Amino acid sequence: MKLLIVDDSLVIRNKINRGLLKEFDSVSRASNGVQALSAVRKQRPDIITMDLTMPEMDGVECIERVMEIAPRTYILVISALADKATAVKALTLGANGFLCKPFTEQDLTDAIAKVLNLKLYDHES
Amino acid sequence: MNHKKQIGVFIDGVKRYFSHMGESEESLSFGVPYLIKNAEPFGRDFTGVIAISGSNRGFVFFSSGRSLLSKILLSHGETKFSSKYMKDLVGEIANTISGNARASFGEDFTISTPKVISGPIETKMLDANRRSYILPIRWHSNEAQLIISLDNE
Repeated sequence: MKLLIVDDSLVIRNKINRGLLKEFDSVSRASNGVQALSAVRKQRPDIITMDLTMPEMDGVECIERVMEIAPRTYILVISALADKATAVKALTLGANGFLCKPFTEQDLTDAIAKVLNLKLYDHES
Repeated sequence: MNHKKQIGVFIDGVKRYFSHMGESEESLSFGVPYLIKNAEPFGRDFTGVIAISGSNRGFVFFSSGRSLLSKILLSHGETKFSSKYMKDLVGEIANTISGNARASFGEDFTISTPKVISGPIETKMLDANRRSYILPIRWHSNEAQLIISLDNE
């Protein structure tokens, strides 16, 4: 299974990579929405962790575009934007989970497990 | 929201951030918040700057010395402590604390992507006739500051 990590922070990309490396066959990274769309077209990741506040193209627009290109991609939003309206908007656009920054490694593995379970359930039904 | 409540929101944000570092709560303490004139220079080794627009206008700064940033990088599992990593981290901390504040201020509290300044902050970006709150932060004997420069609209 392939993971794409999208976040404008190098430290956060590294943290997510370390936390999830064992769960996936391959992990790639992007630092904004434009890079993420390019990676989606080329690599067709199964799961994306998506930041929202990024330069070039923000996460909200990127989720919309990913859903047009590869609607079967599962997306876990990982963002500091802690208001309910933002979480609802991201989920409405097609995200499958929301993890608020800051997060621990346990928070991360729990959140990705929920998304993976959802993917498994959707695949079986 | 009055200034006291505003500062309370950001203190909660700082507490929340450091509570995820896997350390005891006693490791973190705050000094008494104080006001400075915007014309006075401030800032430590690196400062993450978030521009605020929408329901409030202004800036939120997280400013820190290298020693505190090194310890946080270590907590994140990093083994590299170069200026590149410290700048990235200080911007991410400012982004996280400002973004978390939307839980209290609402979605109209719009935050920019972070910019990072090395050394003292150029105060010309701020209204010289107004003042900013400085919240001193101490974590494991290492010091940082959260600077809140917001106008209520």
